[in-house]
Amino acid sequence: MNLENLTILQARNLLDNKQITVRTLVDHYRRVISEKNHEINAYIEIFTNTDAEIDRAQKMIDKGEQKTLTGIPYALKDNILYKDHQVTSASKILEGYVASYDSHVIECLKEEGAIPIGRTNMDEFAMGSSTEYSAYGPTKNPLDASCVPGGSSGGPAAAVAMDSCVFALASDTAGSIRQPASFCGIVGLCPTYGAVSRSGLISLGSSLDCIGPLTKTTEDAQIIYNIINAYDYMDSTSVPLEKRNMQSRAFHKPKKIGIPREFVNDPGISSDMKASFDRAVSIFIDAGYEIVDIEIPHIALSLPVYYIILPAEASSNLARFDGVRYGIREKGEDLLETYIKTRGEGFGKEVRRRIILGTYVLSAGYRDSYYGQATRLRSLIREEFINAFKKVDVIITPTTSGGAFRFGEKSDPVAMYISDLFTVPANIAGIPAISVSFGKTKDGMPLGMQIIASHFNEDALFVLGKVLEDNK
Amino acid sequence: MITRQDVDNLCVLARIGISDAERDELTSDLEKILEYVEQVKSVTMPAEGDMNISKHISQDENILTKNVTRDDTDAYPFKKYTDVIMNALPDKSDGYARVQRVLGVGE
Repeated sequence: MNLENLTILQARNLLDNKQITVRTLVDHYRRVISEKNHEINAYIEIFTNTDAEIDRAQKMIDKGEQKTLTGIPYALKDNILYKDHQVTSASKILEGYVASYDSHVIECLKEEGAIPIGRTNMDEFAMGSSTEYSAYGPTKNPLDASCVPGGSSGGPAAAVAMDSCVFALASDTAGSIRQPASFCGIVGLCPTYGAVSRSGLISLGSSLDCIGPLTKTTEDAQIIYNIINAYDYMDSTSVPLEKRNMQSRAFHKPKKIGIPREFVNDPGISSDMKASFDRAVSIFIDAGYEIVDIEIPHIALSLPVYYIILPAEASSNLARFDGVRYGIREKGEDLLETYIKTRGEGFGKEVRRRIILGTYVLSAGYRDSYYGQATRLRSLIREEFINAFKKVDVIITPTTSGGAFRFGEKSDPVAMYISDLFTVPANIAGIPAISVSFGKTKDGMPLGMQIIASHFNEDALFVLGKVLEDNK
Repeated sequence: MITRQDVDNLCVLARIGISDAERDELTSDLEKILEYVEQVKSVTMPAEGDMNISKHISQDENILTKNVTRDDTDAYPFKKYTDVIMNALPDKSDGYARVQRVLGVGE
């Protein structure tokens, strides 16, 4: 039986037609992991205690009571809580911490009977764009081990790209799902902020974090989105379903595609990417879409706005890691020194850097000129997107300025931050965006195209994503 | 302009210990990052009014304004999570988290 590159529906058919059992499928992926993980380092832990879930899924199938994801194995990013299992955000400070409850997304997938196969590597607390900042060592790109897989969801993206699971769940705060999807040649979706509950996600930037899927196809991303997209009272920013309908225009087939021309003509963009982007545009024209140049005047300020808001929120969110309630404790002379030692030694370098930056932009005398100004600009950028979506149905840009870069290539923090240039505006405005693999660099590494829609119009992303996939 | 003294002060505020070598590196990193984010100051924005924060990013109303009790306040049976939370403590004693003495330090 050929189990290579299974999509959700292909695996569903094999399971439903009794050509394979759930256990065969899980064992197959465990074998792939044991062959490849020592080189790639995508997984931090393989779950071996899922017998009950496997049996339950098989029973559902045998009784004909299966749902879409029953028996489908998936990987988890190490910042999503799965009850009674360790979760560390790839940080030393949470070493040995065991989740006390299930995240809402895990509850949704348990209901379906999907099988969690392992937890995967990431940049510590999701701060990074290359998975080089993990306490568990870097993850390598399965397509070329000398390149990074992207980040912060490098582990889940590599897990899907090395075909060790059917899909993965991850989080996206500035591009953490879409950029690694692009570098690893797969699909990544960042849903509308408030569409998927953040309950049980270890917080980075609470006003920016979104949970979404990494998948092999756009159709799979759509399937997962439809399952995890639900109102949850445990997340105060979860938007009630009736409010979403009022807000999102009744779905119609998208016709007009906007290009923020000045933004996508960024001088940093590689010639490979430029050529691929132009080819994607001509595919849309051939498929009958109208291309419109649009202006989102302050879009390029999304990244500096992000690097004020995110460190500010992260420095507050990470204040809870003090060596008293969970994780490790490095004992000092007194309590203050214990805090300072625990946090100095428990957090990695990038996390320390961003907490200190956040402390600076929130400190007396600077708060309004940095944080206040950034939040006002954020509202302005959001308004500019809403106005743009009065003229066009979707907006397209490259996902990144080029293919996966090499380890150590971006040692300067600002150079690393700029790799989120194209993905961060969607998080700033709270709108959904997908990255679909399209085109290659001259070295044969994959590139990704990003499609952005208005709030709660994910369906438009899936329509256009499939157009690109069909014309690869 | 960020000085090494500023970085020291921020580290105390953030309760983060760093080495001398890292302090120098951090001083120059922060300098670079702040120079990059300074761009936000180039736009003149009204300090008050519509643009002034607190809007839900994907929703036009603030859902936190209603001051009504949620109906799930007794959702958890008494002590349901006590053991699992206690188990996560790095140091504990008789059902309490144990920390070093706070009062009377430095007397």
